[in-house]
Amino acid sequence: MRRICPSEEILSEYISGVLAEEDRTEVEKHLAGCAACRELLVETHDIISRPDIHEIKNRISRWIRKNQWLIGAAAAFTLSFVFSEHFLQFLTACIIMGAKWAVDAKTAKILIMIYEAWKCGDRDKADKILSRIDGTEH
Amino acid sequence: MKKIKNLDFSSNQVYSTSTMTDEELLQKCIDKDRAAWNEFVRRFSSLVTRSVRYKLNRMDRHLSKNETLDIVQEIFLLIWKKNKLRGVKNTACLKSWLAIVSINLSVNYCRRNVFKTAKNTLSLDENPLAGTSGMPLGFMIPSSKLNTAKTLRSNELSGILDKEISKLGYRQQLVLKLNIYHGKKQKDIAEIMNIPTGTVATLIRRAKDKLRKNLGNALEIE
Repeated sequence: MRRICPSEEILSEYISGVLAEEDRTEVEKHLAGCAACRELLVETHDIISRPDIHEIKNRISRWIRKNQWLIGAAAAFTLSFVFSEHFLQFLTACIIMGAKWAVDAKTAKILIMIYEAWKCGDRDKADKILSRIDGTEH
Repeated sequence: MKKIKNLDFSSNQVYSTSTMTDEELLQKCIDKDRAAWNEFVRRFSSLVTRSVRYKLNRMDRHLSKNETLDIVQEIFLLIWKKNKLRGVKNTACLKSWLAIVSINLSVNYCRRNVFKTAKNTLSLDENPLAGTSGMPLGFMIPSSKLNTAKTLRSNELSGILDKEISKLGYRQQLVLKLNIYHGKKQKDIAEIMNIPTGTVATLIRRAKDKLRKNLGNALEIE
């Protein structure tokens, strides 16, 4: 049995299941006799197995912020049917917000970057941007 | 032509840190890239904060939001200064590594700073450094009364149980201790040890059968 407690890296590899077999045996032999390391392992498992509510909330709020114009366009479109007497106004708002979303979108920015690079004659830069988009080398 | 906001055509690096994978982010942080480090802190501060709060609750330490934030900042500062991320070889274990580091540093922080508990009292059954392996306070203070025979017998049996458990194979020992001493269910033990739940059940059953037999013999001898 190992007398020296395994490092933070070894313990994290053990709990993640990426540790080599012979090292796993050594770690388990140590854990069988070391209450402190067992406690640490149990606590780590408790933390990483629980869903991170803050992260979920952050992701939702980031998605809303990223797509606020799309959400606004969808809301205006729905309201144009609910308040049919103001159909044209809501539809106009929907078109404006939809256009704003399309212009702000990442794709539009990338296309502009590529156009700018080709315009300057920098084909290499344009190819580099394209390869980053689809993950292949041109 | 007017530059579009957030795009730098003079730079050869055209990347957004928020879309980086954990592998890319880890490597850039090891290379001391500040933008990548900011993204790393943004991405994992929730996990580190959760780990710190979890450990402080286990230790029955009730700190203010600012004090918790101090600990979290100290953790990230230490990781950055000592470039501790170099030791993380696989991003699959990054989250568990961060949790372990956060737990250990929270304990160190509390040992350096004496905090009053919310109740300002400490039960005799509690460990002064709760959450770490150590004796309860009651065991440290000599009693003015003689221990009853019942308490002595209970301590003796507890010692016999520990002795018999230590005779088991290391895997059976580990599984049994996680089950009995740490109160973990078979499913949780299987996740911790990365083995099937059926294997855990078999190990526990065999360990308990052996214990029953050995304890029976040990108590008969007495």
